[in-house]
Parts: sequence; structure tokens; C-alpha cells
Amino acid sequence: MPPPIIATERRLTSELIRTLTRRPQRSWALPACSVALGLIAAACGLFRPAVRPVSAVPPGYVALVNQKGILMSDFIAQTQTETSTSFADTTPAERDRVLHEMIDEELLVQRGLVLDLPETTTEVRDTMASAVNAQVEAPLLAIAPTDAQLHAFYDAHRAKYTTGGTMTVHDLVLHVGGYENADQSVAQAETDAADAVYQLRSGASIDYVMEHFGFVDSGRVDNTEELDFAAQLHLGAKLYAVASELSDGEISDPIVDSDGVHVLVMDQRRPPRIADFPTARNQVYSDYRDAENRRAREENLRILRSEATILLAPGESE
Amino acid sequence: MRRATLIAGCGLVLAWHAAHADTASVSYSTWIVSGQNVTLRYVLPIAEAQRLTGVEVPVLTVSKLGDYVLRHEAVQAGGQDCPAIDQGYDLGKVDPLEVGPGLYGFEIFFRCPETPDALTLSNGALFAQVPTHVDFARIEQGGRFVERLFTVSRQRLRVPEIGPLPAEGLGPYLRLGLAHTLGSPERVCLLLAVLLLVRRGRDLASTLAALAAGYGVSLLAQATGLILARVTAIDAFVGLLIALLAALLARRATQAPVRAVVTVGWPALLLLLALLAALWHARQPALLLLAGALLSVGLLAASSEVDARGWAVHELLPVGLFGFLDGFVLPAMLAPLELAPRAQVPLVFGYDAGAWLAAALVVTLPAAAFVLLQRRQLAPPRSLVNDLGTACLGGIGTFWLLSRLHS
Repeated sequence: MPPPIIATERRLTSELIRTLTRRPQRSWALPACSVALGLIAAACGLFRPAVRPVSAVPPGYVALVNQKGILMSDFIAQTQTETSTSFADTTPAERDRVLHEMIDEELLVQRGLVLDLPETTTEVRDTMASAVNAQVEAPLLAIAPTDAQLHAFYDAHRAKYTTGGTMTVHDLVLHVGGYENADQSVAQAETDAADAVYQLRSGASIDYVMEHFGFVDSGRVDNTEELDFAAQLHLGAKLYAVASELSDGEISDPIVDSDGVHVLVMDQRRPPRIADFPTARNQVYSDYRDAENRRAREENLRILRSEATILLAPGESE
Repeated sequence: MRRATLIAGCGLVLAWHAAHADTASVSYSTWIVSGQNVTLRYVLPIAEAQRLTGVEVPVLTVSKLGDYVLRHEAVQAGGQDCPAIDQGYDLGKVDPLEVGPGLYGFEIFFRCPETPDALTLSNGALFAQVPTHVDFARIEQGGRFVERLFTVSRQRLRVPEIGPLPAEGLGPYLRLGLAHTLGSPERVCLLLAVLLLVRRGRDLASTLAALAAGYGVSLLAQATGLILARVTAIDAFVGLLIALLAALLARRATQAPVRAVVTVGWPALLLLLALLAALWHARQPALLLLAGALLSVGLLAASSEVDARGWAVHELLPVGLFGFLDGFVLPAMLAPLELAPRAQVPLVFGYDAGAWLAAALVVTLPAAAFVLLQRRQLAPPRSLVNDLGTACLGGIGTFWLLSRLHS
């Protein structure tokens, strides 16, 4: 006869085997399974996992401020910038100070976001817009343009690469309705000016024409050699357009302007000259970069606009 | 049958209003007391803002709302008002804050003339428009936060000069819980459906125990802080539970051929709707409808086993489930305050206790009245009450389920 403990053990084992091999009570088991599956499905639909706050600083970060991380790489770079030494050579006190400053900065940035500064403060908006543009341009900076690309750009924009022209020009004006002949009309002044032009082209001197027809020096130019841009500034767009087409010794037709009828006498003209590629290369490189950056910015804005919903007030346009 | 259909139709009409009824009116305020200065951060949901300003354009809402908040929030010290200070730039005295989607936030700095002996914080926003409005307030004094409530009957809080502000007792949360259940048509309907299932007095005690167990498990789950509830989905699921209880009632009351239709038809309908939702790529509604179908088929099939014995344990499951889900309502309301899970536990306990007490009232008072009427032989036949109740609750529950699935 086996001892009582072994007998109990055998009985429990056989009971367990019987329980496990017993045919399940299907009438209860199936509904129970269905309910269990229903509860699982309901849990998936009704609940979502809560975001657990991070309680330890993850690798690669030096600190967490309100769950926002400060990168170790940023900390190292900032420390090196502030101390002008390598990170390994900085003292613990220096590192503590830099980290303290970075945490302060993070707190201020977070506060700025709560105050919605990007929406309300012009300076922040400007800085953010510039930062986005810089980010868009950054990938292009890594690609150095080839000479062929620069040359193609130079060929397409050849007119931009000119050496500055100069001109020495006299600007005579016949004021209309002045005290000498108050009844003179513009048409009469134009007729007089046409006669004066004829005389000048026939070899008459400027002094003679001024005295005979009543022309005076307009005072816009000082009759010395001037760079084209200065001459344009002084003469104004209308007179400069005519002057730039004159060659040495040439006399313009009468030009009606706001202060009277002008006649331009070109003493000396050195027209602008297109610079060759080697001379203009640095400028071409800079312009090429600018054009690429502008293109990238415009492309970025095109994408942003395509994804945006923009409503304009009635009567407004952009 | 014709009468039942008519009443079910009336129930649907009533439910139409309830399904689109406003949710609880709440706002949130944080008061930081530091020497002469008191900083107030006031946050309120978009629905409240629109109710208040009557406009839906955010820019206008912010502008109007800022002025409104400034007019209704105040700090007094020694009987004198502490003025709100101008915050510079073009902000004025109210600074709009970015506080997350679905919420408007404002910040006001009050400066008292001299270091105050004791402060009185006044919050009168929204109580005139919505008397049931509740403001969940956090008051920081000396680095310690205390959670308090502003209600229509208590719009002023006195912050003592010495010692910390005492924390809110359970009473106000208990009252909130009571109002939550009694003011919610879907919760009252669910409890009435449970009442119709009950046959004996001791079943009533089991029901209330199951409800309490549901609230208890919910409280434990919240203390872990591992899960968050989707409140709109819970509202839809309560509708489903009402319809499920109605199906259980219908199954019990009907004879063999109709009984089979109820047992198979209701889960099949839910399954069909789940498939349709899945075809529309509405994942969450599909999941809830599938859950409803599985629960229904399981509970309806199980009820065939216990018909002879009447009230069964499996009928307590929807009640416990309701308690569990209802326990997540206050934490969802408190979410903008970002309280630690354990800090919420006492507040939720008070709220759930109130909700449970209200449920006990809703269940026991009609039961007692019915018994009284029965003794005086004035009560209508139980079968008639059950039939009409089943028809109404089935219609209302289904309507709530479907109308809230996509909200």
C-alpha cells in the first residue's frame, strides 16, 4: 500500500488529466469565447495607451526639459563655441554653466511657444521664415556647381556682366513759358529746338546756340565724364535712354520733359562692354548660387501653397 | 406590438435631442500666487467658447473671449481689487495662449497693491450662461498645487495668508458624479434597462455590486496611468450596451421562433454594420461594432442556458462594463490639467461614488414604486412594462450607438 502522500498525489494527477481531457461544455465555452473576443475588440476601440512620461534621460541627450530633450551633440557644440576650446578640455564648471544656459533657453523657447510668439511677434516670424528658407537652401550648398553650369548661366545672363560705360554730355534746355517769352508754347519751343539741333549739327557752337535760341544748361550733369549709373541718376530715365544711344559728337533730337525741351550734345561716349567669362567668374558663381537658392525657395513655397487652404477676403488679390 | 412600435418611435424622437445634447460644460483655471502677483491661466474648450461668443471664426472668438475672461476673473486683496496689468506690446491685459487643439487659453497677471494678507480669487465665467458649468481649478501657493472647484454656488475662493489652501473634499465631486448620472439620459436609460432585467430584490443588490466593481476596476486602471479612454467612443458604446440589454430582455420575453431571430438577428446586424464601416475605412467604428456583435452573440447565447433560473451572472457583465467605462469620464474631463494619475484618484473616487449613488437611486426608486403599486394592485402587468421598455430602449440604444459612432 503506497504512503498517503503518494496516493494523494496520484489522485490529484488523475483528476487533473481527467479535467484537461474532458470535453468542454460547448454551450458555455463558445459564448464565453465570444464575449472575451468582444471585450478585447471593445478595449482596442475604446482605449489607447497613455504616453508615459520619460523619467530617465535617453542616450544621446544631456537633459530633458518638460519631456523635450537637449541633444548631447548640441551641448558639446555650444560648450566649444562658448569656451573656444575642445569639449574634452573644458572644466566641469564651464560645462555646468553652458548646460544651465541651454536649459534656460529651452524653458524660454517653450514659454514662447505657449505664448504663440510665432503667430504674434514680427521678429520671431521673420526669423522663422529665414530659418525655413535657409533649411531649404542648405542641400544646394553642398553641391558645387561645375564650370559647364556656370558657363551656361553666364551665356544665359550675359547682359548682366558688363563693365560700366561712361559719358560726357551737355544737357541744354529751353524752358517753356519763361519770363523772356511768356506766351511760348511747347510746340513753338520744339520748333526752336529743332532749328537749334540743325544749327548744332551744322557745326554751330553750343555757346552760339544757347545765346541765339535762349537755351540754358539744365544743371542736371556737370559736363564732365560720368559713369553710366551716375548719368542715369542725374539725367533721369527719359533723357538717359536717349543719351545712352548717342555716340561721340552726336546731337539728340529735341526731347520734351517736364521742365522744357532738352537737347543733348554727347562730347564723349564709352559704351558698356560685356566682360568675358574668366573675368566675371566670381560674380557668375555668386549669381548662380542666388538663382538656385531662389528657385529652391520658390519650389518650396509652391509645394506649401499646393497643400494650403488660402481664403482671400472679397475684393482682395495677391 | 403596434403600441410598442409607437412608443419606440416616441423614444427615438426624444433620443434625437439627447443624442445631440451638449456635453458637460467645463473650463480649467490655474492660479499661481507669488507675493504680490497672481498669474491666471484660463483654458476652455472650443464648444464652450462658441457657446459664449456665438461666432465660429477663431480670430473673433479669441478677441471676444479674451475680453469676456478679463471681465469675469478677478483677484481681491484686503477688500480691494488687484488690477490686471498691461502685458506690453499690443497684447493688453489678456494674452492668448497656445494650449493645444480644441482649447482656447488666456493668461492674465494680477498685481496687488501690497503683499496681501489673504487673497480672494473670483471666477464668474460661464455660470450665468450655464448654471451647471464647473471650473476645475489648480491653485499654486508656495510651490504646492491644490485642486479646487469653482461652481455656480461657489465663485470665490479665499486663499489664506498662512498655511496651505486646504484641498477640495470629496463632497463637491460626489455632487458632480450625482449630477453626471442623473443629467445623462443615456445613463438613466441603461439603468432602467438593467432594472427591467431584474426579477428579485437580491438581483438588484447584485446589479449595484457589479456597477461598484466596474467603477472600482476602472479606478485601479486609472491609477496605473497606462490607458486613456476615447470618450466619444464610450458614449457610443453605452448606446450599444442599452441596445444589448434590450436584446437580452427581448430574448427572455419572446417565444421560440422570435427568440431565435433576436439571438441571431441583432449580432448579425451589428456584424453587417461593422463590415460596412470597415469598407468605409472607419477603423474605430468597425472595431466597436465588431465588439458589440461578439458581446451580443456571446451574452444572448449564454442567456439560453439560464432561462430557467432567471437572473444570471452573465447579465451583470454589461452593468460592470458600464461602470468600468463610466469611470473614465472624469479623467477625460481633467485631461487638460495634466494631473498625475495618482493625484486624480481621490477626485475620481468621489465622482464615481456620486455616479454610483445616483445609479442606485435610479434603480431602486422605480423598483420600490413598482412594488408599492403591485401591492395595491395598481401596477401595470410586468410583461407589458417589459415589452414597452424593451421596444423603447432597443430603439434609443441603437440610435445612440449609430449617431455617435462617427462623432
